[in-house]
Amino acid sequence: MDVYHAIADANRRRLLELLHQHEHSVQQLMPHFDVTVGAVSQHLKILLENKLVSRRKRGRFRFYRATPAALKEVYEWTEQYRRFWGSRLDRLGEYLDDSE
Amino acid sequence: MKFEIVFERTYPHAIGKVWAALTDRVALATWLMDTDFVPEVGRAFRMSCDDGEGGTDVYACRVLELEPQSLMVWSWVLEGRQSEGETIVEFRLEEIPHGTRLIVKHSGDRDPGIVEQFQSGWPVKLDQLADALQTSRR
Repeated sequence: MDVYHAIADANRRRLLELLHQHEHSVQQLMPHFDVTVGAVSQHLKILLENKLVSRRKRGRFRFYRATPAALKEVYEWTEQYRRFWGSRLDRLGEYLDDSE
Repeated sequence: MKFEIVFERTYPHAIGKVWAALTDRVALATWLMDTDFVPEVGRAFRMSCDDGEGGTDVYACRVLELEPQSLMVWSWVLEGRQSEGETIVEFRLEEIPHGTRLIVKHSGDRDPGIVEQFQSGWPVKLDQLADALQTSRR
């Protein structure tokens, strides 16, 4: 699964928002969700795999926090090229219309 | 981390004409960028354009695949930023009634070590970002 699918899910976006505010353990996250512990863990695993969150161990618990740098990068990259290709493909259309 | 944006456009023109606009350097200079492009697999070429700040951005590219009137794939990297890795631009053409469909896919993969240098605030609201990405993947 890639980063786009990772943030396509509403639960995972909610997780990222919570984990951006401050770090949480799975147990601390549970009251914010209507799904099972297993489901929350699975969502966290996907976010971890895409480097959108990091994890550290403290005592018996693992704490998660968001790593926004990864998202900033993806956002800037996609925005830059979205604008670029959007305008260039418009120009291609004008070029095709004008040349016979 | 992988990136990908996809654009789909239809043009009311024959596929041969659209293909020519994608593979002729004079045409490319008109709608894309100034270039010394040659439609030949393995050929390196450069594309340049204003960077909007009085300078010039130069992209170092190479033709990776070429199937006439069907598919063209380029590698694409901003000169001076090679360490961030190549990106791939793919043009795919399909004949449709009364025209041609063009699908442009631009994808890349960044070294996570580079990503770490971009430490700063939360960029945008996540829902907006998801919407933006969804739009760009259409």
